[in-house]
Amino acid sequence: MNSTNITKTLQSNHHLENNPNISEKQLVALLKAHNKVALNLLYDNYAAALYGVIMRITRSQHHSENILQDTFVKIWKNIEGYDSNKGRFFTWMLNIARNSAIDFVRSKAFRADSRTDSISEQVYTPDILSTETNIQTIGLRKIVERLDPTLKQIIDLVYFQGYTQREIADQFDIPLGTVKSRVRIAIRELRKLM
Amino acid sequence: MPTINDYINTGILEAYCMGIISKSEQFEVEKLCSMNEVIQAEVNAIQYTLEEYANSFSKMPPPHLKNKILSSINQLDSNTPKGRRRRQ
Repeated sequence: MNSTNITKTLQSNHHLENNPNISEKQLVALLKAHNKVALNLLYDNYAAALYGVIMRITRSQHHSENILQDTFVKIWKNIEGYDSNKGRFFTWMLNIARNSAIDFVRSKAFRADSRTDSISEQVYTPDILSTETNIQTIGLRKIVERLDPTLKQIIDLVYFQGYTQREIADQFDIPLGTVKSRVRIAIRELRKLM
Repeated sequence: MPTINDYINTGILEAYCMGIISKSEQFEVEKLCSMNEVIQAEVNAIQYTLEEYANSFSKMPPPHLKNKILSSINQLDSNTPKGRRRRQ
């Protein structure tokens, strides 16, 4: 998107509000121009995905709400630093959300109060999941469930719990080379399923 | 001489996309990625796979959260000294 196009789009925020299907590239360009309507669209398009990942990591609704807020603030503040040559935009946002949530779970503050509030909150989780989950998500979940449990576990340890390959090798007493090849196989299998 | 396929088969691109390689390896992958379309396409496909994996956990946040988050960002911007944005 060139600057003339951006200017045109900026002048027609009304048009933007009624057109949630703008491309990712356009969205990034608008966010880099500090466009607030684009921020609104960003939230509508990605909040559920980011929130789901954060919930999966913290297992706490209260903490996840705060971390989602931090994530959007970081996206807004650091959007200039996003470089499409280095990877996909959604991946970039997911990494911000994941890292924020993993850092928090590993902090002393979380460890101290997770004993008191996580049990009661977990009771609500299945309900929220079943009533507010769309068809696309259900379809994806069915696909992911077909992945071998050992391979799924390795993805979860790395992706949601932030383990390094060395830490997995040590904790489960398996050679580092085996962990490395399982990470590779896990992603390939998942890729075949998608 | 190792081929591009040999490089892809080491699994380093999967590890890169999972964020579990050293800074120097990361730098190397990013450099190769910018030079080679096959490697770039491979990274793109792996990232897409992980995005879909993440999407399978998708969950609507409580409705009140949207206003709270957007207004906290608005407030943040109004606290930024005037003109600072322009110089960026």
